[in-house]
Amino acid sequence: MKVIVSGEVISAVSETADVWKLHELLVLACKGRHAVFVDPPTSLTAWLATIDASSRLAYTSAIELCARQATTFPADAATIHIMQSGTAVWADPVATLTLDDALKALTEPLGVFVENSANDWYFLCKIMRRSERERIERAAKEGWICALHGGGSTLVAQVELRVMNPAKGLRTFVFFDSDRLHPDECAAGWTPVRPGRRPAGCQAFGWEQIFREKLPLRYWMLKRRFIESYMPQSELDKAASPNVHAGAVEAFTRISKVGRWYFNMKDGFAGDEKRDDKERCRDLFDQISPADRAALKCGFGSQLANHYSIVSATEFNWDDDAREEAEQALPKLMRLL
Amino acid sequence: MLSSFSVENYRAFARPQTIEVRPLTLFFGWNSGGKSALVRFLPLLSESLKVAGPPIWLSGDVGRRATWPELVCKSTERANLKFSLEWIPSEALNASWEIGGDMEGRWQETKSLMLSDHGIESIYSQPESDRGHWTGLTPMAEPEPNIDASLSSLNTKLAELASQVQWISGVRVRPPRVATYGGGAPTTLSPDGSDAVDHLIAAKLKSSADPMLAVVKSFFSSLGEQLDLDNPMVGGWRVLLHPTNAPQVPVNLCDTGEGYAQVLPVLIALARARFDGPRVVCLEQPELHLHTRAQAELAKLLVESAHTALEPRILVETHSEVLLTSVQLAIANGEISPEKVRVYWVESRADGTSDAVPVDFDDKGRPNKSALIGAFDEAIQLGQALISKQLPSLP
Repeated sequence: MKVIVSGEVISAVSETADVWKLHELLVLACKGRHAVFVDPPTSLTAWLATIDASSRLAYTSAIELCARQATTFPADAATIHIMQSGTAVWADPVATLTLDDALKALTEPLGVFVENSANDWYFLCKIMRRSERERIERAAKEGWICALHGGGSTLVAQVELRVMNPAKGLRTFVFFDSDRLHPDECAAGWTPVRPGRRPAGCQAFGWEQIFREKLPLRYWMLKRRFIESYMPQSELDKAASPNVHAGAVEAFTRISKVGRWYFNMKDGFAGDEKRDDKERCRDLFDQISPADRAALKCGFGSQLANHYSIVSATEFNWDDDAREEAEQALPKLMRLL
Repeated sequence: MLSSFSVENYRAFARPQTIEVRPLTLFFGWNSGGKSALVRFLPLLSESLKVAGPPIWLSGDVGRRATWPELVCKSTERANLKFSLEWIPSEALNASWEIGGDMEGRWQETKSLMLSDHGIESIYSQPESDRGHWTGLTPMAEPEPNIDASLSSLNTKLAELASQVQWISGVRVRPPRVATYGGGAPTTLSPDGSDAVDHLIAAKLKSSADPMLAVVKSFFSSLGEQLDLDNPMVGGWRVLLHPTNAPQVPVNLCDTGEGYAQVLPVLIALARARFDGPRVVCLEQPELHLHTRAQAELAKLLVESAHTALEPRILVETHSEVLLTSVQLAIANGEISPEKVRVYWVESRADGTSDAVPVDFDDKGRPNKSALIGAFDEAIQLGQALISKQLPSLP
């Protein structure tokens, strides 16, 4: 994060017993965890002149490195202004906080809620560019970022619990499947409401409403139905359960592109057939031959997503649309580090 | 003026990459990602157009005697190279080619050309049975008048492009101790800068106040040095540098550290682009061997050049943090509009293919996305690691 410390904070705290808080803040800069600036810099210089030489040298160098580092931060980089007084504003991308509140947020690891802390996390890491992945991996190693297991139906409850603590809330990102059955359901105006019937069972639709309000810049809802919907064919060949129909992968490749994106990868056509709202896929699969439909009847197995965590390859051969989606979505996560 | 080009299945770029050619277009990225391939694409095209032989001339300075399989992306196993050129909206012309090549390197030919000229679209293809009716990248004129006009327009643009591309490669030669001059200088500088001094002499002989010469001299004077051309014998010239206030201690440019010698062709190319020289300037590592102070001055010259009336298009492949920060500062200072600058972060994937991620800036010089965060991470992290060692009390 970018941290801009008001000079009056330095003046007010540096001669009190709370001076350790300034040290804690600058140690975060020394470690490269956050980029810290003091405005105006002279107030920092004045305080540094009063401390031991080795700390002074280290802090001065760290602040210089922060300035270099921050030139490449995006315009919407998560930022905290540390003020001496005033009401805390826990906002994103720019929060205004006291030193105490800021330290709480700055020492809080960035929590990335995923539905499954293993498979989804590995999916995220594998779909990143190397420069992004290296940054995330370093942060994970240092304990500055962690995957939070949101579970399926409990995700919202867990996120809501976390954001009740504003420091944790500021350090929260959410990643989830779209659960959509048809590409039109990703349009802004779509709702799961069905006149005269129970609303369609689209969990992610409700989640997105909540996250759009609570974490507007800090979530990625996949465009496709599940993380499994992104699996390249070369990986699907390896990942499909041994019990899967022998012609399933080939049959899958014959489905249209959007059909593949919204197909029930785990449970196949049989899985969707049981749904109360099965009509949501509309005509997406009407053109599929009976033979292919039979091959895909049971999908690829409920353990398909495990492939993301089992395979050691750092990156898959993603299709262009997947790369493009990640290219648009991942900066929302990267700007929080 | 060219506004963009795109390539697909070219070198490491398996997927289509569209490169907007802005007044200042910078390419950053790790080694072997494909920056050079992108910066060299227009020079490669220019060289091919000048030769007018096979569609892509691979035996020249840019091609370096590559074979066709080395030109196309290895990971795709596709043999066809696709590329397109688009000119600014007021010129309303764009052209897309598909060039087929033999994966054993024996031949190459233009398969098709799609042309859109003021909204009129034409497709030209070269049937196998009728080879030989194309010259390089374009078919010979067809009898239909409207097609003639489009082709003629494209040929004019291509000829213009061929003459307007100036490439300065990343490997440059030292200037001679004494340059012999026989009059005149070529329209483009040699990519290795070996004829750089000829351009200085030609400018000096035009006028000692030649504006191109003045631009080159301004770089050195900003660093406290004065550049002079000395003509001690008939046809023999020396390029001398001396501290601005100490003319009595001249040093031959070839005796200075490599930085000034390496930057000379870059300065001349930039200066010429402001006046009557080629206006599409493709520079590889212009900052070679320069101290950061000189890199900052070079960045100013890049910004000034991109901002001049003729609006040259300057494409720069670089690893310089100073160049990037200087350009961002120039944007924030209002010295160049953010719309005139585009950075591409070029990064390879695990499968060996690469992508060029475009990054724009706001009027404070801030990137619009996070792609550049890791651009200089190693330097920053080394510094942080050192600080951690120097502060043993760190928890």
